[in-house]
Amino acid sequence: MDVLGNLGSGFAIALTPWNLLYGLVGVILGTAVGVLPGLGPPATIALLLPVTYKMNPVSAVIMLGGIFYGAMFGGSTTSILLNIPGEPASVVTCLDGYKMARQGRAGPALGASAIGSFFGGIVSVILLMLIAPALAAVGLKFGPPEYTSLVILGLMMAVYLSEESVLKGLIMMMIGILLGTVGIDPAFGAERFTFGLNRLTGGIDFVVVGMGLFGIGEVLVNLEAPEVREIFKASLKGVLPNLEDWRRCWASMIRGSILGSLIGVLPGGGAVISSFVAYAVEKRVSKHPERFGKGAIEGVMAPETANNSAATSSFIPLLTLGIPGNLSIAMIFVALMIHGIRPGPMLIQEHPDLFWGVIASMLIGNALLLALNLPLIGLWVKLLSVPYRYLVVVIIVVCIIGAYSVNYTAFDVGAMMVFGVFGYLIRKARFPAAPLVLAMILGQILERSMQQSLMMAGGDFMIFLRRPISVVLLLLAGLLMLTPVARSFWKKRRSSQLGVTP
Amino acid sequence: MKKRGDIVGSFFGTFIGVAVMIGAIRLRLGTPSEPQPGFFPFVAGVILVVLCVILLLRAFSGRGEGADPFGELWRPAILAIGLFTYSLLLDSMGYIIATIILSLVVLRVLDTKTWLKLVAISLILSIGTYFLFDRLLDVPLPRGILTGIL
Repeated sequence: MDVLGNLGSGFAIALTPWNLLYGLVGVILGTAVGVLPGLGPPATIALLLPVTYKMNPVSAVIMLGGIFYGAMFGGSTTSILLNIPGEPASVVTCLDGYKMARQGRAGPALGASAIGSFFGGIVSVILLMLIAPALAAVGLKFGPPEYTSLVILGLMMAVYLSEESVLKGLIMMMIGILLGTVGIDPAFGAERFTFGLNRLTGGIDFVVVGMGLFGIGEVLVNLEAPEVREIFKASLKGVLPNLEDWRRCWASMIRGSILGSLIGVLPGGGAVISSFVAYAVEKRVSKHPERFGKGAIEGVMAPETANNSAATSSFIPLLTLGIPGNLSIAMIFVALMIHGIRPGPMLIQEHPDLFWGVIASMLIGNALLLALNLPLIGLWVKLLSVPYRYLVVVIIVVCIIGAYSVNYTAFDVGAMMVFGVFGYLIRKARFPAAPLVLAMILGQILERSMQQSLMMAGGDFMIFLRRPISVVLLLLAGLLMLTPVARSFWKKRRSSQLGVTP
Repeated sequence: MKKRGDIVGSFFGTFIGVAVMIGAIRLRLGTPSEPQPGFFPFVAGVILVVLCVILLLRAFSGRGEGADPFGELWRPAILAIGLFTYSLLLDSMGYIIATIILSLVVLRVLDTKTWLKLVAISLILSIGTYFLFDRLLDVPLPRGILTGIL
């Protein structure tokens, strides 16, 4: 079969010593940032962007991708042992994972999440392998109007799924779109909103904004009241779930992997959302929903399986349509652009080595992660004994180097700080940050395709409504905006289940 | 006051939106069939202003979304000012020196008691990351005062 042949050549690429090493570095770093609260995968990917400039693009994506899904493995450790999510996609894992740890069952909880993550990752890679070429073929038929509508749907999705109100999400999205227009205009070469500053002609870098809003902004919020953390001294005897556990949660693992894979594909979706949905679904289908929140292993298995599936499947829209659906993927989008590769429907045909090499590396990476997270879990737990104040300094230094190395200017470090303060303020005023950052990238795609469509149609906006695929996409986007009822229901459930905002 | 976040936010957004609209008109708008550089930002600016006005109206009609109160502000303020100063001094001082000072400040603010720990961590962190990135990973960092030595 064709797929097997391609996969074989992919393994030939992924198994070269250097790529194997980059993959290993990626998943180890990923697990580490997953374990350490406060430093998310996007910031880490941004830090390593300049390191990848001199690599070949395949190795670059292998390493950066490894960070992303590696973090999905690591995040659960912190949730289970500390009741603090190591990264946002493991927020729900706290609910039952920490309870299990308190009951002396930290081992099986950690084991279940590692095995679930592995299973979810593999299911999702297979999905990626099978549907991506077909989706790319559909994408090839897309003209500028379809792209315009697709990007609008992606933006609406990002707003809809963000944790605050839709209205505030839309406002943040528009600010992001406007930030993306700073610099040289793509069609005419005119300088826009640069205020005569040379620094701004290249545009405001998305990496700088992202690190400021998420990295520094988060630190500023945490500095208000530095929390005292208590590590739960758990005995880690036996990390494998027993037979009774398996009887309870094998179905959760399968449901989690399906849900995660599907949600990851949605633009604006991704690991964080998938873990919430998977948890909610488990509770709904369970015969004993009252056990949830009291140490049910299904409540650990399902979200952890789902978040890794979603992390992997969120590569699908990037590699087939050129639309990044979440922040980490947007960083990888940037990495590809730096290497002169424009992600889109042609990518699989033009760079089969990249596509199949990355797929093979994901299979290898997931296997490595299983080894890193089951037998070696004790090492990661040790990492948790690092006090938060030391972590803060590390996060700050990571952000500084990441921002500085985008263009090698100290100006970007200052800009990052400004966005950090902005991030702090919008957090306080409860505006979501994710739509802003994603809109910076999607806005540029939107402007280009919208202009092309309008020129095609002689300035007639109806062109978006005359092409069937475009209409369907816009209808979906409109539908999302018109269903605040369902959304608020979901949100209420979520916050009442957690008692915290993620 | 629960609505304050919404009100301040919508004023800020309106301000940005109006400023963008003015800037966009100066860039020339063109027509939809032949859009000029100002066209897209202008449309985005208008939408932003409309959204902010809706938010403002909602806030005044008592349907505000609420905001979190500020906690102790001095620690975040020190970090913000410190980091901004850092960005101004980075090139002249060099990465190592600037980072040592910044991490000393941050660690002190966060209540690191023993001076030995404070100094040791700052030194290890800044010198370690310098060699890791500048030497091993080929990400050049500014040398500043230490140009002759490094």
